Amino acid sequence: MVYRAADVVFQYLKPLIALLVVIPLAVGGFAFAFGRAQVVSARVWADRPVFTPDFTSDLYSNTDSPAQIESALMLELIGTDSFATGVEKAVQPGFETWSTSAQDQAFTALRAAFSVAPQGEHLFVISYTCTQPAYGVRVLQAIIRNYGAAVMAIESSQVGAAAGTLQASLDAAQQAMNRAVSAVQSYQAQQHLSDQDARRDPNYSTLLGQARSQTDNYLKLLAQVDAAQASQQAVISVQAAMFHVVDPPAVAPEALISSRTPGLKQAGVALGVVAAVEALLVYFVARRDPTIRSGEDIRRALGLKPLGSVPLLGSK
Amino acid sequence: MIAGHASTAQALREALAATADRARSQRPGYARAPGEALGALPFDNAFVDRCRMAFSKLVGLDDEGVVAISSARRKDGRSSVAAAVATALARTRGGGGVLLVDLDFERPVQTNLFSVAPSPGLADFLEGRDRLRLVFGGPGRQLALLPAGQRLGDPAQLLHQVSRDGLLSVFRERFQWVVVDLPPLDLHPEVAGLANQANWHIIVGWHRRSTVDQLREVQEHLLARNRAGFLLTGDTTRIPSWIRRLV
Repeated sequence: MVYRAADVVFQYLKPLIALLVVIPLAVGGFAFAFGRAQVVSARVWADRPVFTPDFTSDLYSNTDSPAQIESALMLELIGTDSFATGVEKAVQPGFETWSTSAQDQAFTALRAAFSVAPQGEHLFVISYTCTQPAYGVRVLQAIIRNYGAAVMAIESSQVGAAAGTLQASLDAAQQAMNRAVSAVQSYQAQQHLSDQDARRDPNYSTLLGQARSQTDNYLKLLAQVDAAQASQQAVISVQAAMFHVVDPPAVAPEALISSRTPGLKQAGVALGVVAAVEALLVYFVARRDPTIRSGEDIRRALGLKPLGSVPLLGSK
Repeated sequence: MIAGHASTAQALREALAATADRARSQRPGYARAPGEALGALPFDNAFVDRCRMAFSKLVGLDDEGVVAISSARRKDGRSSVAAAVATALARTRGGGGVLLVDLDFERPVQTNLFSVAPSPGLADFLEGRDRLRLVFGGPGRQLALLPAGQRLGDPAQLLHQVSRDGLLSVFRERFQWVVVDLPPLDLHPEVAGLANQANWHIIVGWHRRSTVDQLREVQEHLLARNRAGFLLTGDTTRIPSWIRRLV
């Protein structure tokens, strides 16, 4: 059987090889021609999340590099519908009028085509895979623009919330301080104490100490409120100054043949399918073909002694 | 039929004696064609050697007798193999002479292979129209060809006559080896009788064309199957030798 199969293979060797080459090439070429997606990418400097005021809690681990923090934050943002809506509005005219299902499909496509990866300590690369590079550039520009605005809004709100909390504490501390000072002054007036006598009165000393403590607390909170107000301004100015795109969105250079080349997978699958079909055909022909391909065929079928073979010669 | 003789076998016996004897062959009816000899086969020596090696697998070194070459159908290389086997026998074992008999009366080709005139031949002799004509040649002129000749009657009747009168035995009386080029077995049932008068039988099948069923029909006609072998002709396989060894 093996010899018969080998004989069939070598009988039809040229067409078998031709099919094995032509069909995968055709399939791969078709996929390459009509499915060639290009990758648009941009490199962004990652520094902004490092700026976190002392009084705000950091969402991320201190061991993460700025690039890791930035890329994770960007992925989180892309996953939110509000951020994705902002991006789609920038690149799709009339996006607001789309149906909900169409918008959801657009979000899904955006998230599927988008990728981000840290590159070293302070750089991260954002990429968008699409068939139209110009569209990809617009998408990345929108993502970068919205990302900067979103992060500044997030951090401003964090600082603002902290400042508001501090202001409330400051107000309470001011009232407590005023009450303590009033209590000291009332006690001195009621006891008709001179300043010299008041220093020797233990109750007066206690009340005075409480008033000083409240005053210190007020002054400390006042300093923090001042710092928070300064931070609110700094978030905008400093972050805007530090946020910059190292390499603007552009089509990433790519080798003609790489693991990302479209058509390679299809060509590989086609190669496997053609090889399997050919193997089946060879097996079928070798099994069902009634003709003789070797003397062993006759020995097995008829028990006749095989005497050998002679090449293509003779007149009959 | 041959007139004036008790039997065809006797007439053939006398004719064979006359053709082998130069003096007697000058008599009317037995004259040799002057200067007639077998030409060279249109095969290379490798083909003849392959046929000789195949034959050696079937026949022992000390054997001698009648070898029949047959096939299931035409154009399977039967006549070429018969000519090559006869030539090989004449080279290596032909001390007592080798006779190649072409019994394919419908489409004889041995005369073409050896480049001699197609008639007269056995059919002319058996139908009483001409003398028996043997053409000698080969190494030491040990090889003789008996052409089929030109028939007028039914080829089946001629085959039946050869079988019935035991003419192969008569040939065998004067030659150490008789190689018989039989017509395809499926055309004439008479061929089965002739095939069974031979001591050995080589069945020829064409690579990728002859089928097992066709050859089974040939084999079913044979009585002594242990003295038969199969030779594959037209082997065009392109399997490299190292793969052949593996499989």
